[in-house]
Amino acid sequence: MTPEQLQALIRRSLPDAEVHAEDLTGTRDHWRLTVISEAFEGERLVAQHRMINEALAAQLKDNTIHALSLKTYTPARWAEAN
Amino acid sequence: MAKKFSLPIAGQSAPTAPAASSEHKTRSQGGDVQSELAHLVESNKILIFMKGSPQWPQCGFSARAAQILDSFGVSYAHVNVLEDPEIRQGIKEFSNWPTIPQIYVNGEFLGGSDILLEMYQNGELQDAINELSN
Repeated sequence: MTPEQLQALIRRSLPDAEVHAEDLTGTRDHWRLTVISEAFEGERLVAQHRMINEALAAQLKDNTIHALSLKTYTPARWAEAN
Repeated sequence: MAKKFSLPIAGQSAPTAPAASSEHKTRSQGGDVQSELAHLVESNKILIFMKGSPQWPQCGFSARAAQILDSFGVSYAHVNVLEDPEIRQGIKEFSNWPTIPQIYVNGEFLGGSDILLEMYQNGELQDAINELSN
């Protein structure tokens, strides 16, 4: 997978998502993703992560993505953090 | 504080064979994986499904999650999913969560290692663990 592919998959579910992808192992199957979207507003962390997991469900299932680390932000929280 | 790992399943050679209750059937008694998982989650206040054990984690994410739980000095149970392919697949369906580790507190699914870390940092994990002793 490429960062562009990851972003495209996530945007199918979360069209406004900004996705920062870091390849943890250089093998393109262990990813750390930072995702910023309005869709996370008011949702619990577990629900926020489920949105991403569901967007990438096929790739997680067939092991195209072997490991996934997630950090989710609303645009407001992202602005605070940066 | 010394690490403690609570029974019935922690660190034992048969992590998928919890103490039998009158209503629960293990798979060897004809039960299914999903009901076995439900029983595990109900009967352990803090439970982590992980790769390896807290002493010998087999994955960085599992190691990190176990270290966070260790930091509270409370006992918790673990299931090593690498010892049981049916549990390894079954827990993903049970929780509707695609990755390992998975952490349950008081029967509630908290999430994976990223969520555990974030809840550790913002104090929510401490709150959840404090509630157990009330």
